[in-house]
Amino acid sequence: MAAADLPLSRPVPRNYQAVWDWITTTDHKRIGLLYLWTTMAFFLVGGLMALVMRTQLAQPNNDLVTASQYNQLFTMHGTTMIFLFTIPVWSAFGNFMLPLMIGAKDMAFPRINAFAYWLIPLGGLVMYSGFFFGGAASAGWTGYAPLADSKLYTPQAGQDLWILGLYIVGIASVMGAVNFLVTIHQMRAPGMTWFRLPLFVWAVEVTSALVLLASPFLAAVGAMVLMDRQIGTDFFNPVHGGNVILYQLIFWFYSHPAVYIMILPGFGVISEILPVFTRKPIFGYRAMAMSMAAIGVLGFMVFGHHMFTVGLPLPVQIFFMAATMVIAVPTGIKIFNWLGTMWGGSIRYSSAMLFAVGFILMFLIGGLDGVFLASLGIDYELNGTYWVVAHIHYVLVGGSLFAVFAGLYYWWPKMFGRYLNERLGKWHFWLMLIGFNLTFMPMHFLGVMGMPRRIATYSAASGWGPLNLLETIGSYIIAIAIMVFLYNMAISLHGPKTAVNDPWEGNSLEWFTSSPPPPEDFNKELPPIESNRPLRDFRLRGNAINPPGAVLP
Amino acid sequence: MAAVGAVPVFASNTNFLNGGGPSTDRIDMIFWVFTAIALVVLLGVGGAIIYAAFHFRRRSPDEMPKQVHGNNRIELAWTIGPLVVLVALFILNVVNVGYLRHGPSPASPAARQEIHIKVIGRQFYWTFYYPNGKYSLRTMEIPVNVPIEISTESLDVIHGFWVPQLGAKIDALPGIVNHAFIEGNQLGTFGGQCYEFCGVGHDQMLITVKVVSMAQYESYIQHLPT
Repeated sequence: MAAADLPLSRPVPRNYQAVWDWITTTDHKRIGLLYLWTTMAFFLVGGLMALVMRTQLAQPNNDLVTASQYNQLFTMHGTTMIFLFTIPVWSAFGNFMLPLMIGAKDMAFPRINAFAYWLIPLGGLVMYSGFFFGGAASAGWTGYAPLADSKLYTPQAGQDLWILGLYIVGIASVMGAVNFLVTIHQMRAPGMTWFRLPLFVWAVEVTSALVLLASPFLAAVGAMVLMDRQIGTDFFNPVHGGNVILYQLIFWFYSHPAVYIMILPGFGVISEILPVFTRKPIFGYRAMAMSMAAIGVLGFMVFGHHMFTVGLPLPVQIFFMAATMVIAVPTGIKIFNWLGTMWGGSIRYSSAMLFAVGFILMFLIGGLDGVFLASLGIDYELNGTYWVVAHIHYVLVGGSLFAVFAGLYYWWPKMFGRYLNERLGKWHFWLMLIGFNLTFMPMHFLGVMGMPRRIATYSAASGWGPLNLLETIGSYIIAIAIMVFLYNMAISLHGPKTAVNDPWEGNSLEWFTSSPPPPEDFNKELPPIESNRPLRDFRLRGNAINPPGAVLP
Repeated sequence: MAAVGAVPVFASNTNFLNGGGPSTDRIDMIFWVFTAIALVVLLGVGGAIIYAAFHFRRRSPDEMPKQVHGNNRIELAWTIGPLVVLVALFILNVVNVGYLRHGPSPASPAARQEIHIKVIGRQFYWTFYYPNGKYSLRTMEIPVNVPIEISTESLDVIHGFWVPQLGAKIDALPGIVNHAFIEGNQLGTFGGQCYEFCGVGHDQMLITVKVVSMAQYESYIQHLPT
């Protein structure tokens, strides 16, 4: 029985019952939707901050915002997009879909699940409250010592609130990770063996392990910075023997795995979508699962590549270069196997599939420009330039965000019982693809031309003006694409609930139940699970999953 | 290589592909090797993805493709293939990295006339201390064709010292001295600035390096303040 059904100790006024039900829900699907709406809201805020920054950088010597405001903007943009959007948005998909995909009724710990969710908006509000107490954090999302470590350089309370906020969302992500791991290990339906798991579940498994192992390091480094700032310890204070490189070592020991925490679930989503829309099994299932595990392990051994210019001993740098290059191998396997899945398939272009193919192409570019940064000789040049900004956005926007959109178009009918408009979806995709590349491709060239990241403005003599203007135009096209998507969501949510159980000829169990699913997920006996495509097996044996004459998207 | 910088939109006196010294020559060589391989992979793999995306479109609703679950031989090939290429790129870096970081080895004749300049970063300007104990602010002059040993340090937060056309980047840290090397083999003025975010004046921490003749350099450092 779901804990949502437990009687409340106190009667609640009838008018507020619906709101109260959402606040007290422990149902994994409702929590998933709460994650979705919350992270989408943060995404819009983070996106608006990006638009202000792009407008500021549209021309040389612009003074739309001051340097101090600009520093707060890029710090909060990065923090928002990483900690309040990309990491928790996967909890939206994980919460809603993972129990359905493994044939479970709920997550293992429904109350912990609800608690973890509520920490996300709380953490976000704590970080944002800095704007009202003398300015938000302004040392970049990486918060390097001593800039973020001493009130000499960042006196505002916002810098402390930022650390507290990170703590709160960090606790949420550890709780979520434990919950996912126990759910995957304990609550799989009979017959759902490890190598019959949907690859999205594999992705969540590896991601959760990374969260569990890495997050304590962020907590540790946050505590050390907070003590340095507030009670006069000297962990990272060079004046009293503290070491500023130590901060970076601990910080990146969390934050490099965090990159994989943001992209692995996206790999999982793409590996779900491709087989459905090509009518083929995923190419090399085991290699796909094992390459994610390999990326998870290697992900802990490459953190030093963020520090190639801080003066680490050369043998140490060479080790991190080698480890970083090696991680390109399992990543390459994934791209090749996705290509292998498409090859010889029968590809149907729904919006979800368009975004999936877009993801593979953009992630390919993000992988290749990353190999440049892995190279010591080239990183000595490109470190700290716009090339790095290009790389992180090809991975996290062209990668993670495209996968989020692919997942939303794919699972929207299951989540809301309604279809998204496919025509608008195609507009969304093409505007997004064009806007994205116009914005971020020129950043590679600007990196080569020596434009540093995190500068509030630049001189006309630098020669960086024309490409920056092009990028700003691109960012407005992205904004239009996002507005098309918001409009699509709005008309869908106001439309009739016409979605059938299985609109896409799905392979996995979430498509077996109704759209949206009933409170305890499955109101009928699950089909037998004999492969990693149990629903396809069931359908091919002549069982109808949708009613005859159903409306399909 | 210089052709890239000749395209007006890429013109910039901080473009390392228009290198002005032996260090950037090596860097540019590594960069172009990487670029060539990346383009081949991008066109090959990206082209295959786009080809598959068009060629394998569903043509009738009942179409059922062959159910291929994988192919160990092909999968092994695209595991080993990239690994071989990466090992080659790794070696290309390893053989050059010592030079890029520390300059010519002490045994080589060029090293004998090496000049040491101490670079101090602080919010928000650079100070350059010359071997004779005198210093200049924001602008540094160095003699042509002489490897310059740079040591960096910061008096407050972390800064990043880089003159793109003359050598590799190095951070200036508080409490820790770092070493790097730059060299110019043509006369001229080269730009640079701070590459590690350091606060509200980060964008103003510009560096100008003038590569001049040895005679002019010696006269320049005589007339600086102490």
